[in-house]
Amino acid sequence: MTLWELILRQIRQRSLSSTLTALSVALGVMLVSAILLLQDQMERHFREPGEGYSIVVGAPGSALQLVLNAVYHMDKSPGLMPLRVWPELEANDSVALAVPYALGDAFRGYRVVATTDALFDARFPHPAGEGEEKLLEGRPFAFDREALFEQLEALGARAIAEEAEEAHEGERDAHEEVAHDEDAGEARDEPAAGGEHVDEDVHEHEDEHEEHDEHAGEARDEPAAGGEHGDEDEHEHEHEDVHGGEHGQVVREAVLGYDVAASLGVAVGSEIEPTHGVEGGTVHEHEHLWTVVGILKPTGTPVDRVVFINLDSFFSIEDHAAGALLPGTDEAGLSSVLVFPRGGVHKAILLGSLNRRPELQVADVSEQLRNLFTIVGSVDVLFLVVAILVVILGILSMLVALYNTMNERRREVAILRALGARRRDVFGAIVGEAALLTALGAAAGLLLGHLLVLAARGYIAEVAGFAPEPFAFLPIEAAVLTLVVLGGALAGLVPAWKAYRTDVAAHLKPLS
Amino acid sequence: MAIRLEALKVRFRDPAGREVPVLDVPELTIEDGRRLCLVGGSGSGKTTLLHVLAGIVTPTEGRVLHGDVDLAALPEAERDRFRAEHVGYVFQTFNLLQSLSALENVALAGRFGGQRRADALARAQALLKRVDLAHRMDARPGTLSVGEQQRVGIARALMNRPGVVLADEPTANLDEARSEEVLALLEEVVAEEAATLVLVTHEREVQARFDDVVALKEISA
Repeated sequence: MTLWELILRQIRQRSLSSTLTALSVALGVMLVSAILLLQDQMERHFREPGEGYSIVVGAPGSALQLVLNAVYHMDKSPGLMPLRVWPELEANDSVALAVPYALGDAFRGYRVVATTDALFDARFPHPAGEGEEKLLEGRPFAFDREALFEQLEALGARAIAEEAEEAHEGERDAHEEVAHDEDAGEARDEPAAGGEHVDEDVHEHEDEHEEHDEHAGEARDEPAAGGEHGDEDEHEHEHEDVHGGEHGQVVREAVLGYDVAASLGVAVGSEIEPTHGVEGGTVHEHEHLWTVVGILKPTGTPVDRVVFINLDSFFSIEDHAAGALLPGTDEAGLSSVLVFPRGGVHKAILLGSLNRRPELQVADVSEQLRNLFTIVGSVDVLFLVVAILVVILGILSMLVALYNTMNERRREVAILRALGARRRDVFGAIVGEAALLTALGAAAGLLLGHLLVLAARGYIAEVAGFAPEPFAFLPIEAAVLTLVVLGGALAGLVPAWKAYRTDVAAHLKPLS
Repeated sequence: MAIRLEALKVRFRDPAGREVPVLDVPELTIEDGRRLCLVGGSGSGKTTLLHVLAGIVTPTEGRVLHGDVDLAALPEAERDRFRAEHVGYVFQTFNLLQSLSALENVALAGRFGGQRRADALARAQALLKRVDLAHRMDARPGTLSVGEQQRVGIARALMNRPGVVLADEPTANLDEARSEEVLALLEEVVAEEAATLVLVTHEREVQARFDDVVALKEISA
């Protein structure tokens, strides 16, 4: 029988008050633990997938929304930007890679992103590698630039298409300075304005969202297709075959993110049929099938949950083509362009020049993430402060509980002293009891914190777009445990001092 | 272990801060292995003298010699250690820790006396057998009769093979039959351990059993 065993017995003897005391500490630690865990995972969720991206260009609106939409595949797209900006950017000396995105469709709840073969460029960050190195199996989808511009031409935006093509092929050499980009852009605006107008009656914008049907497309194991043009911008179109009989010539291929393939069990060679609606909603199915030609390696980023299709095939669907014009114009549109600048000052040059263009929203990914973390961080700090106050309250309640029991325990202290226990022994025993109670409470609190995250996992995934890993252990949790135990021991000093000063002779007297 | 008190004076402070004399023993010698009975009226300082002999109370003046060791001159921590190793204490109201079993109560004293866990448990078991409580080792004090509790108290007092056993009215809470039984047991085991016994009592029958009886008188302020 040691003093520690004696402490354990004392705790057990007062099991109810000991449990309540430990519980009050546990509740505070539970909150601290859950907040720290969510804070860490949210930051990871946003920081890691954002690494490697630099600039996103899109329609005027919120820069943060643009980044969330293009990089994290969350939130609605701000709308359509002029497609001609994409080849302009490709031709810009400061740009290493420009990746256009056209969104709006979904396949069984997963977003479909139409893009070019730039997706398979080594400079596109997720997954790492180049070409087939990015793929777990299969091959990259085919992208036919000429076919794309033919689609656009057929759409009625011929002048734009030609201009864009020229920009891509010829203008790179002509750009000596970034300022030229702007001139070039302005020059292109003119023919665009004078281009052939597609009958605006064909497109009718509605702001309402289409109804969602996550299971749309299941019938065929098929991908569902849509786009901003279908869901976010919500166009309802009278169907008009703008491509005449040439649809059959367009290759429709898809490369799936790892999670999409894994969760839906879709393999290379399967055919998928996307539906309208980014979030799985649908107005109708396209009745066009895309062949799955590849599956991307897992990245742990939102890319894993995306279906990529070739951009030319996207515009081959009449609904998309019709909805691909900027409202009220004959300009073809895109959802966004991910821009990867060359090294050095090129990013600053690009940001400077693009920011002067009113028809575009330019988002510096790292800056937007900093802003996001600042906003989220402030709220986190507030929650954390409240949680820490709860911990302090728990420790104080333990102090009060121990202090109040000291009157009845002074006789025990006197007996121990009479048996030969030193003052410091009984002092240490009381501090030890306080530390042990807080340690038990803190340990239970850490466990409860993780269980809380586990319980809230589904809700968080729904609201924040990521499912936190409930049993990831953070080094800071060890620090929390240590600090709380130290705090408990510190609080134990008060009753321990009372025990230390116990008058042994007075408390050994027979009780009346 | 022989005990000698020299010019012992104990004064306490009252709530007003004045010093109140509670004990005055010019000289007292208790030879090794003897049995001494302390008697006196209420307030004569019997219990205080036991506390002084145990090192629980430090005298205001004088010396408290256990063999060659002057307990009054030792620092508190040294006195605590001396008490754990050399003094056994039997209380009127037993003073057993309610959260521990009979065995643990006895063994705990061994731990304070520096015994290893296994040794302390073995010694505690042997002592409980000696006081006829082999069948009640795991019982909590609250489930023991008063006679059994005092027998546990006696076993605990002998745990560290003390040179002196101090007993403060050990039979005051017991009926006559139990009192005789416990007293006989105390005398036997103390004799077996060759310890000196100092017992406080107000019972004449008890006094008659002792070799030496010292009467303390109340000190007038």
